[in-house]
Amino acid sequence: MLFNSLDFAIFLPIVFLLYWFVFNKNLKLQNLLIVIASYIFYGWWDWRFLSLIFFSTVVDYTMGILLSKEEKPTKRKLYLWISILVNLGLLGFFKYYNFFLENFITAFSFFGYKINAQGLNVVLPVGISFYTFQTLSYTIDVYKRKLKPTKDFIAFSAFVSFFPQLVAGPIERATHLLPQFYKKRYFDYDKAVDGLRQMLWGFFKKIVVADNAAKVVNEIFLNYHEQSGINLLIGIIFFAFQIYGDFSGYSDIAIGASRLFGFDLMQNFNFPYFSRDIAEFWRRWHISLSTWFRDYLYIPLGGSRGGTWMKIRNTFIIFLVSGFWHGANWTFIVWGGLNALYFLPLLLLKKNRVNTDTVADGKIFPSIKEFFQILLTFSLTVLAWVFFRSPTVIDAIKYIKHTFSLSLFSIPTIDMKPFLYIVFLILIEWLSRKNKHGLEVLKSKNILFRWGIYFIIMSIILIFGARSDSFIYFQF
Amino acid sequence: MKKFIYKSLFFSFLSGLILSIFLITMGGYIDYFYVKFTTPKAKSMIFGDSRSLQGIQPKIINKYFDKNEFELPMFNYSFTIAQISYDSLYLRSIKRKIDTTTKRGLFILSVHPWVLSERQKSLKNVPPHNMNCVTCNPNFEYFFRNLRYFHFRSIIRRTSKLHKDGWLEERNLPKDTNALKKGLLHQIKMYKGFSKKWKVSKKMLGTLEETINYLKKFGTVILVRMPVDDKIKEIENKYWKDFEQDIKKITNRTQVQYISFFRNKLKYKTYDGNHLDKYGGVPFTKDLCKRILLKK
Repeated sequence: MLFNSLDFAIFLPIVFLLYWFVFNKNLKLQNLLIVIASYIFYGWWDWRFLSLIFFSTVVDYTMGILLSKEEKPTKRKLYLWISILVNLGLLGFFKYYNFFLENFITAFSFFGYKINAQGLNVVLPVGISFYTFQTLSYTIDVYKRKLKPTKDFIAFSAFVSFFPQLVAGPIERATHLLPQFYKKRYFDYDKAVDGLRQMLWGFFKKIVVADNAAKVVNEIFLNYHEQSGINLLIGIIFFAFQIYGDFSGYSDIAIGASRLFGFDLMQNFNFPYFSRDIAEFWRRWHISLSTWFRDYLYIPLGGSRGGTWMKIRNTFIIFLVSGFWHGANWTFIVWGGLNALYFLPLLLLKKNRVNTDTVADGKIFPSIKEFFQILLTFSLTVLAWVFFRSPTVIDAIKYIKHTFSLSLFSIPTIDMKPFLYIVFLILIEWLSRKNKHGLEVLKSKNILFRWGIYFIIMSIILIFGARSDSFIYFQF
Repeated sequence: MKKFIYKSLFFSFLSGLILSIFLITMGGYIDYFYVKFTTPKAKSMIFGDSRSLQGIQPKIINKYFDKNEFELPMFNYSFTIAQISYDSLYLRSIKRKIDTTTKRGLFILSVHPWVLSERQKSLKNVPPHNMNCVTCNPNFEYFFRNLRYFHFRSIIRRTSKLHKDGWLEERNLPKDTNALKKGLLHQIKMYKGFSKKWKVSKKMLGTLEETINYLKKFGTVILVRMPVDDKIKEIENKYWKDFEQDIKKITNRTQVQYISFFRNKLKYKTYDGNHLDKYGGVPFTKDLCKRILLKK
């Protein structure tokens, strides 16, 4: 079920009313309702996907129980590996099988061997990368004894399948979300209202910014060889905001919807395009994934504690794996590698934690230095986005080559309307950059002003919104 | 919790109210079909696809037959080729919209090969077939079921208007002959595509006959084949060679009149060789009225 659909507009209030008015007396029943609602939500795409998520749930629940009973390190390690292999096995089978097969065939044909092998014709289950990582965090934390394994199968199922964040995150840690299913939830008026505000802002980012930008971006990337340099440059800037609007919009809706049910999810985006260096950007972009890789991959590999080579190795591993997580294509790996290259000088010079505060805190405008830092960081990320968006690495290189041609100094011939929406987005988010989401600033304003803004944003969504049947991050 | 529910309800009520006002006042500009489902049941109607939706103007007919014996006003219940063919779904929707107390209505059915062809895609989830209420104003059923059809930003440019009589006035007409040629090429490409994928449907001829027999109970039924560019004619003749004879067989059996503008050279203004524009539609509708009067 898509957030931006009529189905969801009917589904959410029904679940909300059942949750707070019918099942509110019994925690177990409330959790059961969440599981049922989440399975309906997920099965709306394709009911066959449900077996996968159920299988993942059963495996990790069982491994958790077994880990709690076992003291022998070898056996404990075995249970952990079963969980890792099952989860990553499913992910690998659905997402990466064809990629590895194709590259295997290409590699062998390079040496003169011809291999005939059939690729798989399977649909990638929506959001598999997200819930796989979420359940993995549970087993790893239980193994590390950071978390007590749950014996409550319903609560665990609700944790794995919690519908607001099931298909595109934030990827929650078991240590943060699972305990919330054990405690009785109380309705918090301010939290629920702010949740709705956050959802509204998410819808704006998705429907107005991302979907309008997508129309222009798709056209440009499809015929990039026919476009002028200036069109290509605008196209990739639009894509930077398309992917931000799409993904952070989804996260806002997910977090906002969770708050309606009394849950707190982690912040997934913290105004990343106002970052002053790449390290800051990665602390603010897709936070739940970056921290996941930091905690479960980077730190176990030694993090930045070792020598220079170890730091370089670990940085590349984390960025390349992060790129590969996004999709089975060399473009994502190059995108990850490029970001590693951007990040490395900061790490080696120990300047990766310089900008940890809010930019231009207490001021209206950034200083000239800050402005150019933001511009440089944005330009670097935009360059990397070309690889992320292009179908092949060759296409990405050609795209960049075409961009920096003489036609860069011509008049754009593409639809520039998305630019207005982007400016509006930047303006609102700049004003809210100390908050958790774009509309949190409204909290302290009077009701007439607040409601006026809500109606204006709703009207903008209705009048200027574009139509799309998906979110980009569903494919990851 | 109570505060949240009451405030949410009040906010929803306000939103609904604003939306209602918006739909009532702007409905004709922001959707090509919405207004059709907000008007009362009709006594005289025009049926067909976008050719008749834009080419037959009810206000001309109302003026022409003012003193005649038809129960007017006329209402254009045409849609587009992507939405209708003369199948049981369209007949069901016609039954919902017609005022069954009518005795002397005038019913004009625009026919051509494409509205009597079978296609792969089912039409049941598009308007008018997904609509139960075809006379509600404001029509929230339409709003929620067919949100994707709305083009809200047209309230600024107002490139088209669906009038209360169901006629779609296209205001964004091509400025030069180049645009017209481009439009024609697009139509040719579209129909060539149809002729490869779609199939002549004898079954649909049967439903057309059923529709005629149903409408005859409420007044006079006329079948019309509207004028199109020679290049489109060529495609249609190749696709369904005996179309005229097949229609004549039906009109003979059902004892209704068939008026064909198909054989004549196209003398009315179109914007793409297929759709009469708002200027070309005036003389065409007048000529149609004359021919109806002659056939009476």
